[in-house]
Amino acid sequence: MNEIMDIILTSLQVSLSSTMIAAVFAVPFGLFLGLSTNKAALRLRPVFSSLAGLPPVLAGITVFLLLSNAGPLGSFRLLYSKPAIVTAQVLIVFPLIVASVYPLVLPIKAVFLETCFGLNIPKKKQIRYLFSELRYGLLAAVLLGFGRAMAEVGAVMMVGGNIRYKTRVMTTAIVLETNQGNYSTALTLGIALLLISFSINWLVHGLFKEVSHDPLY
Amino acid sequence: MIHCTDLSIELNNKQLLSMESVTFDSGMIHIIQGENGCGKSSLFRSMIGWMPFTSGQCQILGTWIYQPQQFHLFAPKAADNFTNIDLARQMLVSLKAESILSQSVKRLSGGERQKVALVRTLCEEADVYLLDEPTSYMDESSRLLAYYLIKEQLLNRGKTVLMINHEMITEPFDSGRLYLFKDRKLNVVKHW
Repeated sequence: MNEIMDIILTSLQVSLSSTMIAAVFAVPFGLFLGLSTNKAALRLRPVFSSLAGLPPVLAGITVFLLLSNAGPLGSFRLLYSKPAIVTAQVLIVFPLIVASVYPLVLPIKAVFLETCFGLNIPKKKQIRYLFSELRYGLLAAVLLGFGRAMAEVGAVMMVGGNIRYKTRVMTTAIVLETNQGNYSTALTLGIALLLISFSINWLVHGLFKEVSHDPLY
Repeated sequence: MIHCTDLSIELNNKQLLSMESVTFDSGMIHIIQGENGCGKSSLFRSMIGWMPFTSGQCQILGTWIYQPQQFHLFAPKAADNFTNIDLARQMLVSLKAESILSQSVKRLSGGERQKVALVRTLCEEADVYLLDEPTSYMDESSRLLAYYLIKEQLLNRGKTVLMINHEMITEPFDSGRLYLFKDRKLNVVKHW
């Protein structure tokens, strides 16, 4: 039971860390992509939409090659550690959050900016208004990223190594226990993962429901 | 006061308006009328620098506030749109709409949204006010109350008001000019 708790806590720890790090950069960048009208930003939008659906093993192999002994960051000896898992998850979650954030801005952009310009509202205050306006959507985007990080197997297995009491997370443990025939442990972890995922989805649906009830959205 | 010289505006390679020198004097209302799509809103947008002119220049003397035809209300509550809540309440009382202050902006009707937007604009201090169809969704009695509010809050304090409006109404205002957009030109049709 202690081992299962350790696996659950490790999962939550790395997934929360990677989601927070990714969100800090992805939310402002997504808002910038949505608000910007320059050509580079317009071209970047489909790039991030595509990256959001990219196979996670690509992120895994990138981080693996960077952190392996022969790689440019090998001297830090981070391979098969929690920071390695967090790095891989950030690479997976970042484009997903960006791709979820920028479309939130597009429907209100023109009218919002013209109103702010007309009222001479300073840029800082505009950003504060925008955060307040899009708070449900932004939270939903971050929760989506967290759900994605929690569910990741391939990349986490590659860079984390699935080491007991160190880098073993719920998804990698389920794969291992199933391969060893320990179906009850795999099932317990599966149910825990399902409950956590269900809780996250319930929260996201609750937030979107509030928005969809809105007659003006 | 606003002074425009040889103003020409194009949109999607189509000339919207071309007008010679025009001055919008201070301390009175300037009501602009014209068919849909004739360039009234584009004129306002160009005046404040939101949209470029093709040629000519336009100078606004003093500070300005602009209320677009399609405006955004800041969420969640109507009250979140005002910097001076006491003044806003006072104006909403004049519009017989003080109850909307605590309501969610998402639940307001078109007319109620316009009342919030108009009061938000009037609460801001400036020399020139550009109002693009500020009362189009309001009912008749609310429109009249809104005109008297504009007179009391702006015109009586010597402000310049430019208002795009489809309604031919001059009575609430002591002095002003009525303009008609026709054949890409802006002509004064009434001066009182």
